[in-house]
Amino acid sequence: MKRTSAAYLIICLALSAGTLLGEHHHKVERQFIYPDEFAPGKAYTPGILVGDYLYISGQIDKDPKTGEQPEGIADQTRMAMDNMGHVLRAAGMDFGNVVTCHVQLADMDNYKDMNEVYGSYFGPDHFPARTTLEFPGLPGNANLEVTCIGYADKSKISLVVPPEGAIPAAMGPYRPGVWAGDMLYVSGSGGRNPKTNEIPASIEGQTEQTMKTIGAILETAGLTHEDAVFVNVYFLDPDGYQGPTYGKLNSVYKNFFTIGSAPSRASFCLSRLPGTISTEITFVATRDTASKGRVVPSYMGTSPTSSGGGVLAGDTLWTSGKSGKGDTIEEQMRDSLEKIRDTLNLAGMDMEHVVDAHVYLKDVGDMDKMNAVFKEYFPNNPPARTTLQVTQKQLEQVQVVAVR
Amino acid sequence: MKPRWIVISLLVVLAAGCGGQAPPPEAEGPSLKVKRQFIYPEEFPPGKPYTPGVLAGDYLYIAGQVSLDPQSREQPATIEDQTHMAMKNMGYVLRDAGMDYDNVVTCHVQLDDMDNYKGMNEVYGSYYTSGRYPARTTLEFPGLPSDSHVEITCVAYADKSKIEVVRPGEGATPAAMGPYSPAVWAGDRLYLSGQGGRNPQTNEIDPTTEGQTKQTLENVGTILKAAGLGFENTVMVNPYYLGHDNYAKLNSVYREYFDLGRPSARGSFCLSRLPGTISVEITFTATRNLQKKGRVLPHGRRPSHTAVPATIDGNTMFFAAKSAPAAGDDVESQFRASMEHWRRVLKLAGMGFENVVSTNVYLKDLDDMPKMTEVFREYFPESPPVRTTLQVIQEGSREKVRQEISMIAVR
Repeated sequence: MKRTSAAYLIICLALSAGTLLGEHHHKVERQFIYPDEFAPGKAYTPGILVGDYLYISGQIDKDPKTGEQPEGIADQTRMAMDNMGHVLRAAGMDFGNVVTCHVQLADMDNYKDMNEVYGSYFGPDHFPARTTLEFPGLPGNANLEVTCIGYADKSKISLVVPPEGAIPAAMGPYRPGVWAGDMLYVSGSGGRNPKTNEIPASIEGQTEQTMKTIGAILETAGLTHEDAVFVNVYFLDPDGYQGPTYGKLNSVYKNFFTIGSAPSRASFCLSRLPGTISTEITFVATRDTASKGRVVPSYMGTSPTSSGGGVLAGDTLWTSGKSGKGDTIEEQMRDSLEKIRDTLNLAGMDMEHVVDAHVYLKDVGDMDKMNAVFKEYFPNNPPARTTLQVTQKQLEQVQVVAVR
Repeated sequence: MKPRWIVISLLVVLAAGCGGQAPPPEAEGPSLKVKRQFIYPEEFPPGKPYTPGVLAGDYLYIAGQVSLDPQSREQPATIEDQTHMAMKNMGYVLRDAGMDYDNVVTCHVQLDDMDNYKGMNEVYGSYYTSGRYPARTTLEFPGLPSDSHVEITCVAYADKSKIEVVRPGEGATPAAMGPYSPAVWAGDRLYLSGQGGRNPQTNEIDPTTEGQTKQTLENVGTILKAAGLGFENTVMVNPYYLGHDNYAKLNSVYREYFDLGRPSARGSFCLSRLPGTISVEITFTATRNLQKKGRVLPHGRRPSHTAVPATIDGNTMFFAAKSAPAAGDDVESQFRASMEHWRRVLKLAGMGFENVVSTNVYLKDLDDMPKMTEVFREYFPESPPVRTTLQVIQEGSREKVRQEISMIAVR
């Protein structure tokens, strides 16, 4: 009897210690996918499966062990896709699970050749949503970086295709919108008029047409612009945010949202977009409006174009892009991550809940310095990550997705 | 985590899990980051739908204490003895939380007859060390539970070294009409006394609601400034007013003090009388921790200049008052709709009803209290929060509003 009590006491002590040490409890189960094919010690995790969503780090066109880069865009595309395949396989998925991709090129002239190889990985019935962009710089002098999201339950993946002529014809192997559970991923859209096949000369006209095209896709899915949780806006302007394009774009963009209802957003000035468009916009939306809402730090005002904090759908939070204050990349990066932490905290989350991060550098040569700070904030089980170079005054910008 | 909490938690877990004495109920779990204790003094009969006191971190939220004997339900005859009764009832909660009256930082004194103001004041003031009065708001409600003549709702703070009175310079705000301080710091949170529209220079009260609201907010601004804060630091506000028509007038001035989308959570109520001759009184709570302040908005909620659904101050979330007249004519449907709305807002912040530590329920008709309580129990089956129930006037466009609920939740 005494022995039983003693054992019981030890169990009780152990149980209470477990609670008291403040172990991290993630509400949504997650698996950190680190395939054998990848060299160990990366600052990010190649893939994180959280619930049904698999967030995959940006995959470049280099051998993940030797760092060798094949010749020619066809083999480079194959390399990036095969690298992604390792992550999919390790998560128990295949290319048929991929629901959306960003294809990031160093040279838009490679668009066509990339398309052929990229498309061959998917059956024509399974093209994911896609956004293709040319960035002024990719990590490790890659010519291609592909960032995708997979969804575990194929029965809940479905395509959204508006009626013929409602939106411009696809220029490559992608579908206008793809449902993955309650989330809708919309392909990057440009300002081509589907009736006249023309692109308005003004940035305002292009933005208007782009948002209408997105509206047509959303409408086909039974949604509206205000159901968006996260938006990427890409634009061309040699002077970046200081140039006139960004303001003109925003003057139209804001009209598609009631003030205070704009989704989280990250906007970037790039070197080139597909065809002759000068703005491209990518939407992520939810049909679960009952669980949708926003958390905003009080130091952020009400913006007509961005959440300023984070938008939630279910257990997932998308932050807006944040740039930090400071003289050095390290200071700026730390300040950005602290601002992101403020938003996460309001939602009852912290850095350990981040599953996907996008880091945009003014100079991709700052990668090592950025990585050092990234490791401070994500010492264990870091998120998936995509790093890109963009045209901006500040040295960095960070945007994350977090899950409870 | 503070070491003493580790010790308490360990003892509680051992006692609860390992067949010891009945432990003081304490909740913990992944969603409860801040330790809390549910205070249920033996002087109170068991089975109440709310807990008399909840200590969450250093803050002790105390349920509204009425002027009835907690066991016999008898009410003394005079306002003096009634005030003693309510204060002593509160004293039991303070005692069981290891505190005394000097831990109290803010109170709402709710009377059913403002004529009792003076008699109440004398007794109320005698419970505190002179000169260290809590912040206070005194109001006349058209009805209090159990025909009580006074109901007192207070918040206390465990660490007396972090309680500090804020006094703007002489003449900067109207002289106190009773035993209260203009504002009191409790840790990083500032509790302001209810302010009216008396001009501190001329000692006059503007005849218009707009003028009074402006003067009231100027007085609040003076107190905030004396504490090194501004309106952007406010996290929760209760405007009280007389006459339904004055609500829009009040708002027309109030909105000038806040940027679009950046006011604090708010609950506004139409009452039967306010102290002296004012027709607007406003009570603020603020934080000095601006970096950890934020707002929570469910989908479809438009930003305004007057209120947000919920404000977060570090680990604490303050909720506006939620009515739901469209949900049905009965109080149950309306109350449930309000609570479902709050469930959504709680979830956005990563919380649930188990995080709620304090509630204020405003009924149009106190006869609805048993029905409201039934639904209240559904949402808080175990370790319920503290509660204060009051009757308010709902007229004009708000005629169909049978209930409003405001809450405080802690991670």
